[in-house]
Amino acid sequence: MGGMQGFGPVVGPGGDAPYHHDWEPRILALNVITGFERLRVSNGRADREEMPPVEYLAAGYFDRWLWSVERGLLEHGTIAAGEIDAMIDRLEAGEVVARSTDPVQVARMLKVLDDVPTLPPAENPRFAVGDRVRVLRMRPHGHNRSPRYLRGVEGVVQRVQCNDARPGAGAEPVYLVSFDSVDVWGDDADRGAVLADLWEGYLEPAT
Amino acid sequence: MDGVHDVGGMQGFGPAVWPGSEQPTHADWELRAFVLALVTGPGSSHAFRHTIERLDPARYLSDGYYERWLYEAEQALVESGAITHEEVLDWEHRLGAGAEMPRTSDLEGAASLVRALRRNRPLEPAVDARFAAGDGVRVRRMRPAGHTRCPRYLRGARGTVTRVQGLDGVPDVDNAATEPVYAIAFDSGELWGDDVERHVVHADLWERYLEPDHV
Repeated sequence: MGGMQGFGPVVGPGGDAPYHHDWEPRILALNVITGFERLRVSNGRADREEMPPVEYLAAGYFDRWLWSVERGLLEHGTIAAGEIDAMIDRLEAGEVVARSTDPVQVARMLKVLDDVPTLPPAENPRFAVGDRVRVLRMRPHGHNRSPRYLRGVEGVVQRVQCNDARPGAGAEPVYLVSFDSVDVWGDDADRGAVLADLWEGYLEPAT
Repeated sequence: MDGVHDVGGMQGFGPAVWPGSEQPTHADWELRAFVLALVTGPGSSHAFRHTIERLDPARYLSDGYYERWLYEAEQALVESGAITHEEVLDWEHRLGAGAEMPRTSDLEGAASLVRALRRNRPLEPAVDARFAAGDGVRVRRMRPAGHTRCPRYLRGARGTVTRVQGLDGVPDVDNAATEPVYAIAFDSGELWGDDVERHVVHADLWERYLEPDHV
């Protein structure tokens, strides 16, 4: 959606609150636990991007998480087709949600979540600070982190950030690239810099 | 406006052609919505489209083609003061409760509308066109506030003028000005990258969307 118009303000009233419904933190926990315990296929964003567009836009943030968790659980075989609908029927009929608690599991997961690894330095970076680069035109299959509104735009490397795994590819250098707003939005745009972290595979030297 | 309506080049929307998609309408009310929009229409297809473009994005995508036309017609009638939103809701309620739909017929008006629709005037020739067939051009980067017919996926792309089509009203300023329109050919690789199937993408673009390609 980057660069698209008509979606209303980015921050709505209450937009600073992490959750807006009681069920949302449960979806976060469900996502973390099922991923941590390898109970589901973990395609995350790639899965959510395959939601039908109408459903995607109408869904909230945690609705989409729930969608991809359910899909991953089904694909992994942890649950069977029909089980979710059957459970919904049972809950609607008044059955109480089964609760379980496992403090050891929670402690293990919190430890892993807290332990954010530092990304290693870039290996043999093709570009250096000050180099002019152009974002490649592309038609990506699967998940991609090169925003459409930057495709074909020239910018300048501000920083060589690190080495990191590019979705659908291996580990490669990541660059902080600065774009002139005019090159992105045209001559009558407010002047400013648009900054983006981009993998090396998304860039070519600007001629 | 670069809204969700500009689906050109986007993925994930399913097939463009599906069983039954060759039918012009799929329900009786669709034809009536079409006629309603024509009879009450703002007289500018550009203003018409911009109204639809301002629909909430999720609603835009979930509404069908003629639902959007109906929305436009209602919106235009309410904005012009011809009816109020409450009247629309009131009629929804009355018709839902079984009220008879009032019918009207104006054969003369209908005939003149059909004549107007069939009048297919050729474009005036573009005498002072800035570009000529064979010229290399680049589509401008922009952030249009209103309606535009410059697809997002062409912005910044280089192409070649294949024909000067003629003078036509500029959608972005609601027909107030006419400007040369060009048929431009783009190499698919220029739009989607080197690893796509090679073909040529053709687009008719107004002069203000283009700049000379100096490279």
